Amino acid sequence: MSDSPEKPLAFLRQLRQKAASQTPYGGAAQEQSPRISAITCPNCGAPRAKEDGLVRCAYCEHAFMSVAIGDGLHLKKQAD
Amino acid sequence: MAGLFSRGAAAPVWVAEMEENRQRWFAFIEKLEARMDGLCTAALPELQQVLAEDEDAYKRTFLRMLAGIKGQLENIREKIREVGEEKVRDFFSCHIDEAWGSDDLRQRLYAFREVCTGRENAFEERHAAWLARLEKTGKRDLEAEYRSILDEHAALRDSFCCRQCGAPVVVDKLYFITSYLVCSHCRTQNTFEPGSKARGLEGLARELAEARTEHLLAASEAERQRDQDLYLKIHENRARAADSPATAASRKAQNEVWQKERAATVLNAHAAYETYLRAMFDEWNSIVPDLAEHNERFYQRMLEDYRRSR
Amino acid sequence: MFKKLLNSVLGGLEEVKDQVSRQVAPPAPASAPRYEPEPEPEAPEVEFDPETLHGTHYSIEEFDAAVEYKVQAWIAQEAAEGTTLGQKDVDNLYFNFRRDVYRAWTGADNDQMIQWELANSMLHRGTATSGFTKDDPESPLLQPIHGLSLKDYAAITLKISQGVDVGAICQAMGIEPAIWEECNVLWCKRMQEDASFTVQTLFGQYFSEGVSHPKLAALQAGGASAGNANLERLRSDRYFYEELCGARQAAYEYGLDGAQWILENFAISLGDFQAVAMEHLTLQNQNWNSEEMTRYMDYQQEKQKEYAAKFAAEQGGNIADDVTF
Repeated sequence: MSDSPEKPLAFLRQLRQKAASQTPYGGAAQEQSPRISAITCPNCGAPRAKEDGLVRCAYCEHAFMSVAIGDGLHLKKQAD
Repeated sequence: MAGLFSRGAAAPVWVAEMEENRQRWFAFIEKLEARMDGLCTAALPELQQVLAEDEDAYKRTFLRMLAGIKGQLENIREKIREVGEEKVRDFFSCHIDEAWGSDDLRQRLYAFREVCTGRENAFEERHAAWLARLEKTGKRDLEAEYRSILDEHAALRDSFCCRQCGAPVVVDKLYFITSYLVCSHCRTQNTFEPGSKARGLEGLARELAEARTEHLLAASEAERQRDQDLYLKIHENRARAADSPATAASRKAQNEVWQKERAATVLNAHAAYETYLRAMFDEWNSIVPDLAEHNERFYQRMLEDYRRSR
Repeated sequence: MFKKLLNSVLGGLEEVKDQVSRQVAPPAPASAPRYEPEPEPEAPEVEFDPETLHGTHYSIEEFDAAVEYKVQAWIAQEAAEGTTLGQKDVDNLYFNFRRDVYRAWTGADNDQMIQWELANSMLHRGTATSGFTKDDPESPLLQPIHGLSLKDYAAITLKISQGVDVGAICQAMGIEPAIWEECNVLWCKRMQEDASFTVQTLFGQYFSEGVSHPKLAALQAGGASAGNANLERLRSDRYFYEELCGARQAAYEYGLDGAQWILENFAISLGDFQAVAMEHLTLQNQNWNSEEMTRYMDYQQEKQKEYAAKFAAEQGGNIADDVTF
């Protein structure tokens, strides 16, 4: 490659094409819009309500989760 | 042994080789610098364009291209290092024993090494300057990104409804992770998932806080630099031979003044850094208040680390 | 404290002298008597405690006392000359005098000394080292977050980096994404708060053990089985690991996504690669050998150059290939 100014441009064009055509690790990042949802108990169909905590269904005791919530960031320790 | 190669005696063969090495070394680095300059000059606008067009949330197309350009600079740097190892440093080591016997040859060999190393150092500075400019093309406008997150939140906070009863559920603050929101009507736990923009808040917060307080960090570094400058002044003053007792006394007095200045400068540098650290964490906490309690513990750790290291 | 060592050396010397005197001397030649120098006594072999790597012929209290004596003597000398040492200087004194006493009392070579420093990094410098760090159930920084331990967190992180869907992971762990995401934030915060690097170091150790988590072992990303032979080789053949490290670095320097290149060419995920990296690092710390490390580094650099040449050829060369000395 000589010192001609076209050479770096040709090199950069090739590099740019290579960079643009690759699949990044983990795939393209998916843009996600904010959304809201709510689950109902798969056992009895009741909604998950605040007073009875997050981990168990207030009506049939079905376990939504198998961990106990502690003091975290937005979540605080649940009463037993 | 000083007069081993006295006037009239022929210089060893390697002396001519040394001079040739020096000339070729300078020409070699000059050519490589020209290639580096050519590539980087052309790369700057290209990189800016690629960044603007990169639709990936993490700008990975831009980052790959930047890495490829930096790789070429590293290739040039490695070439210089390898040739320098052979033609300058090894050459010096091979001939220093022989040259030791002659003041003239020894000085010439040392001068050869010094001037060649100086040229290599000049290349390194040029390389570092280009790297800084290339990196700068990827500089994010963090304030704009943060404003965009705040704007999105302001626009969307009142647009959600409970999935159980349909009543409005207000997103009362800027959540950056999936969180549970309680419907004020039916008490159902709704799961709120922030969008990609809001999720980026935690990632940009520290960098934004650092950007907002970088002038304070610069003030601390300016004091450190002043301390360094004073240290060099004192050192140079001591190294110079005095031509009279009066001059020696005057230099000693000057050094004492500079030493006192140094002591004050060091204290200023420490105080300025601690001011920066507190201000940076305050900014960080203002951007992500939910993390303030945890950030305070991090701040304490950084402060203790700094005080222990100085 | 020196008495024990001195007595054992002198005792050994006496024994050797006895042995020498009992040996049958060869017949002397007819000419002048031959000078037979006394053989050098063999230094007694030092035994090392497997955990602390201190010699077993002294106690750690004796060792610490010897170091403390030297440090205080130095500080006093500096004070007598009008110099007050800062904390950093005092830390350096402890560092250097510990090395001096250790080498003097054990005859350890450089590698042994570094190994001993790594094994005692928490005690001496208050920082953790991979391969020597133990979990502490009482430490507030290591308490589970929403029921997820640091081990759980490391295992989940590994699975995500292997490409397993987060939803599937949450289901297997019996949690929801909100719980996982809080843990993800808060475990990182614990690492930031922790000046001893214990949380970070243990995370690394657990990360490399992550594949054996009972709840997650069955979860695999698509195509994972294709990489198992290469992955096993990465684990068992250090040179192959170094080769791929060099290849990955070369890929990045030629504008390729290095992690993706490894996945496409060897079917090894980034998560698996880094888990193996942690295994090798931990083993290295536990068997410190600077010659071996230099061999590995040189090999990696050699391979990086080979792969760089290959990538360069694919793009038509480097911009300065034609510039020669």
